[in-house]
Amino acid sequence: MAISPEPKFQTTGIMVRVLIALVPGTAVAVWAFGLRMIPVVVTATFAAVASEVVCIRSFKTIRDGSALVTGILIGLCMPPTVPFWIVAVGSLIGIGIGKHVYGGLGKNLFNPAMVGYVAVLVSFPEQLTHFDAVTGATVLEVVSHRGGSTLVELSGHPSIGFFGAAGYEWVNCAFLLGGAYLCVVRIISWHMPLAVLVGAALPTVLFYDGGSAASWGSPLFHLFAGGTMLTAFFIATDPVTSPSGRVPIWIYGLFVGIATMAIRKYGAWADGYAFAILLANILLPYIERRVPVAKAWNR
Amino acid sequence: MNSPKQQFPPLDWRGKSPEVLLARVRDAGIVGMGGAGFPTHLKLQAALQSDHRTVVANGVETDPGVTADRALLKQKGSDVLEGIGIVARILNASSSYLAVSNQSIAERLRICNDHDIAISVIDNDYQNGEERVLIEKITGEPISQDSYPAHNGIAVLNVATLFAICECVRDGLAVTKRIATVLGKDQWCEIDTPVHELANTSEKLRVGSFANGRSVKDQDTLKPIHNAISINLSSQALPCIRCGWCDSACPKDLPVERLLSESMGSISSPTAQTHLNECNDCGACVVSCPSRIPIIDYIRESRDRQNESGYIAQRANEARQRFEAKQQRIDSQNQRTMDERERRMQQEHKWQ
Repeated sequence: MAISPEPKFQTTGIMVRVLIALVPGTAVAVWAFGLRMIPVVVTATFAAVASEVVCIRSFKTIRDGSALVTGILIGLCMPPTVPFWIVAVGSLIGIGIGKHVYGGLGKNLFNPAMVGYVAVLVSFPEQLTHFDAVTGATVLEVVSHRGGSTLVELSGHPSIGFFGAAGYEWVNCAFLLGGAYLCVVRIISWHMPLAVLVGAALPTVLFYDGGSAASWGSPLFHLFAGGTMLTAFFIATDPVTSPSGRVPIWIYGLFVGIATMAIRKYGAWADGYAFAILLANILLPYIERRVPVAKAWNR
Repeated sequence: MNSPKQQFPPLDWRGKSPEVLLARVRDAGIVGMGGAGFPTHLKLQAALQSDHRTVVANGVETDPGVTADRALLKQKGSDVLEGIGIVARILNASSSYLAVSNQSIAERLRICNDHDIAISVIDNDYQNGEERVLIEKITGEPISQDSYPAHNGIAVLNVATLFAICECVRDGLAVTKRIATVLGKDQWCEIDTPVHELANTSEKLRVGSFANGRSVKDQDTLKPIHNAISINLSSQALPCIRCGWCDSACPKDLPVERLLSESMGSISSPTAQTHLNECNDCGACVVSCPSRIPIIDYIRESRDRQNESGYIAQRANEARQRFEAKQQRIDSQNQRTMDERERRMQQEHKWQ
């Protein structure tokens, strides 16, 4: 006897599936960056959930899993060498200022995970950019300072992998896999990740010249370096801070991709996805207001 | 269950004139039992204005979790067919159709079909039970959005309404009970029984399906237009996470998410005003919502508010026009008096 058909998923169900989709990426990140990633992610998650409880003084909203997802995303953005208290501060700022200041789930203007990450990134730049223990800098940073020629020079170096940066290529592949799962179970539509990836590939396709010192890295390198896949599948697709409707989705996604690339190339930071997301969040109300809801495009 | 009340003498409808039958439908106070509650005799009178008349019996129910019409067709299928025959006689209809969503019900009804009714099976995809969609599926001709099907001579009646018509005309019975899906079980319910008594539960309830029904208060009773009693799932609603699934679920392609956020914030943008009236309360958005938000309640509330403010504005406008006309009348009256006085003054002056 079916009393009533269930909705496709409930909000809690969405969050659970996002957690499942994050498993391969997290596992590969632990394998690539060392076992210290585990306590980093656990600290971030625990701090996020604790902040949620403190902010609303109740255990009620933990059940929807959104704080859990935010915490894990903050943890995955962090380098393994970061002090744990910085991770905790990131989660606290993300949940507290990024989410509950605005009124909680669904009312926040900015992606809470990115608010927390950017807050600690600009406050503790030294601790957060010592990603690679061997070279003391991420490959992205090297590329950002020395241009695409580095890649050719370093192609035999262990910190450069086959097509992305060492380790990163596999982490990104794993996030791609998890993201594909989310698309298949239709938690997210494939338009947003595709728009971000196209946006990221566009400048590199236009300006890559085979590896001169002034050029950008190759498109393949950039797609599989840094947090590209994490951004495309897990951060840009946050329903609360991304538009609905096909045209706004493409504008938002392309903006995130292009801005990430611009910050990687010209900005002071090695990777730009967090800033790109926050910039896109700022633009979002304007995009939603100015783009008419094109009926036929909405599906 | 006590025996139904005999309100009128039974009629042998095949021998009576359409006017007598229509008067009986009016006197019995039959309303659309699919949910709209529009008086049936008015619908039939509207259809009578047209040259070509068609009866469409709507047995396609797409409300999630509601099976009352199916149960009625299974139990009282021949009565429903007779009801179609009665309406066809009232309208002198050129053709009559019955649309059902179930192949086996259609086969069973075809056996006892002696009223020359075309029985067709329609998938119970969402919105196929909506009258304009149904008409287009059956006759192949769309009805324009700004006219009702009845104005085009097509009387779309729910099968429960037709059953009521048959009972009141043939047997002279008033509408005292109807079949309704109570928490997933189809049962005959006395009209005007308190809803909570029928469902026998203390949970929050809705009359109609869980998607597009209306929430009820403690003492609310079952009306003839209610085809189901369901649990009010939206009492467990979570916040809107702006996933946009309601937008893609909407069969009318309305920007539901935007309408919802505007309704929640009591904002009314110009686009919202047209969209709110386009919505036909199907409830697809409620089904799709992962947070189980009673979207349709907000939409209805906002629409009522908008229509009410439109009504107030209209009344104010009329009052202003009346006031200005009166002011003008007074002014012209004064002017005329002045002119008259002026004229007389001059006349007196002339006499001196």
